Amino acid sequence: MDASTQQMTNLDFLQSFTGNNPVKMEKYISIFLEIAPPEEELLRKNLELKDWDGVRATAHSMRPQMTYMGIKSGEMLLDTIEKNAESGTALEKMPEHIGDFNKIFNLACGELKAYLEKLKS
Amino acid sequence: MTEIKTVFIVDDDQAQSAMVADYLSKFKNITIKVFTSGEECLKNLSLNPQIIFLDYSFDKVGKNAMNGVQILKEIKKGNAAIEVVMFSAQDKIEVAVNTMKYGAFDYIVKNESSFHRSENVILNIIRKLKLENNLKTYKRLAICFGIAFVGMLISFVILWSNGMITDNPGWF
Repeated sequence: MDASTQQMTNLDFLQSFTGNNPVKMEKYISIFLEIAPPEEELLRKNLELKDWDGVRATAHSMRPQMTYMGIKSGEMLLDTIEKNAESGTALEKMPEHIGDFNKIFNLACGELKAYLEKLKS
Repeated sequence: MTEIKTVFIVDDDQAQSAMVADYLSKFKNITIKVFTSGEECLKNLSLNPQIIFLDYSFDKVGKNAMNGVQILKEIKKGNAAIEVVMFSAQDKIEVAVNTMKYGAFDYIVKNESSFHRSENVILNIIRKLKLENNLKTYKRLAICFGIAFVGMLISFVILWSNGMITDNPGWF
């Protein structure tokens, strides 16, 4: 299925967690949009350097936030990336996995930015 | 003491800390302090936290940063009464067992249910502290009863040896 046509985020959990409070929703989405992009960049940088422990650590630390923003496909990819980087298996597929993750991540960030705009207006 | 006054949240994930702190703010009498590294947490142990929610890995802090287990050991060395609850994105049983071995009270996997579990852990620790308090009270009572019993026994022996207690008290 083409990732560009799918909805990447599912904010059901965040809405339930915040009790649909728009101020809190804005707070958590803003924190995500502030801290996740540099981490995603670090993931790609670690891949370039073939720093597999760095890849593992970055994927590991990004995973919970993917869960809270309902980015299920991104969370699953990070899980695979983390496990493969840790065990040193299927490393040849790492660029593909991280590339796929990058696409999902960018789409998810776009959705979250649009949601933020909607909240603010 | 059964009252929890101070709780630390130690995590290099700013979003996770903010969400846990917000969720636990429902405990109105608890002051929540957030730290982003284990070193920072250890420096502030003088604030006497009763519970510390501690992340398992601090990769964002740096490669030389203390990991969760090292911090756990230091906390327990300083004050074994502090209850440490480990947080991790890893759902590996061996990781959880390892942290429990070093004295962690519980192990929570970072996912949607981790916030509710954090609340339950606080309630469980409060229950545990109450039970320990009750046990101390019962022990004190048992000692008091023991002393009273021995006192009565000694009094009886003294009275009996002085002939003040006989087989026939003369009541009949």
